[in-house]
Amino acid sequence: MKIILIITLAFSFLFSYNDADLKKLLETNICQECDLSNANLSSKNLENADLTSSNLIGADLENTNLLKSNLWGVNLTNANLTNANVRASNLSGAELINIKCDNVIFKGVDFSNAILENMKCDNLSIWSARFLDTSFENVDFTNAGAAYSSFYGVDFSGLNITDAIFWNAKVSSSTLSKQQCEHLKREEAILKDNECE
Amino acid sequence: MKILSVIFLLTISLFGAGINFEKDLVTAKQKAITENKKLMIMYSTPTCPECNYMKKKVFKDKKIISYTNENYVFVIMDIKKDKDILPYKFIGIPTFYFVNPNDMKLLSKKIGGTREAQFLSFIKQVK
Repeated sequence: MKIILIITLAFSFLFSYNDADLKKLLETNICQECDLSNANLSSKNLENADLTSSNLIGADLENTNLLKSNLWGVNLTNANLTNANVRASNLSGAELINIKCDNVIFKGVDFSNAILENMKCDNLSIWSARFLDTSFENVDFTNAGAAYSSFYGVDFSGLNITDAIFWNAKVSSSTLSKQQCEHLKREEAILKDNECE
Repeated sequence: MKILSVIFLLTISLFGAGINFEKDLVTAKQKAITENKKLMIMYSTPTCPECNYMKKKVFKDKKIISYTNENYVFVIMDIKKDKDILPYKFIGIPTFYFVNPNDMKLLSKKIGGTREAQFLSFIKQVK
């Protein structure tokens, strides 16, 4: 029993955040290349925070305000972003894998070169978001608000856009199914140089 | 000439009529009281994409135009230009406030842009 306890404690130590990094973030709002894995940042005000290249694996960001934050290259695998406000943030090159994302606000976010995997969010808000060479695998944007968003060089095969609002969205140099192209045309999206297979 | 005028007016009423937006809150409130209608206030900015989706797409829907004009007096407020006279607090835009104009009591509130059907369904259930 003791051995199991020791092993559990050792593992939790190995896979949890760095105390100094967490303190630095909360005091300065800047923490580049920090280890914040499994940190509890729920309901914190991190507006304009700089978290460039930080490890946020398993972090709790529920109800967190990340408005206009720099999240370039962060790893958000298994993070909880439920109800978070990430509006106008930079998520270029970030990894968003298995995240919890119901009611999250991603309006105007830059997802260039980001990796999105195993994502299904209720009430997803990606109005005006930018997806340049973004990678999608098993991502569900059903019913999402995506008007005025832009997609460039995106393979839509890993993306479900059923009933999503794409009015005035710009989609170019991307690969889509015929069904997806028809949906975008119905939505009055602006399409250019796409492959509708 | 009279026939042409009639045709012109008919064309306008059939295809050109939109929601009757009021220019300011004071005028809208007074009109709502006089016409015994509810007041609908939208918080917006000219650059907000969700607001523009509502203005340029959803508010062009014939059913929404008809129901809104019949039951509401509608005013759009710019959260920047009108910041000193906004009657309610907000956390994001667009936010729609449905108000009793007599006492300015809030009847309901809706945050965010939606499709035509959802918006119509929402404005119909405000009591």
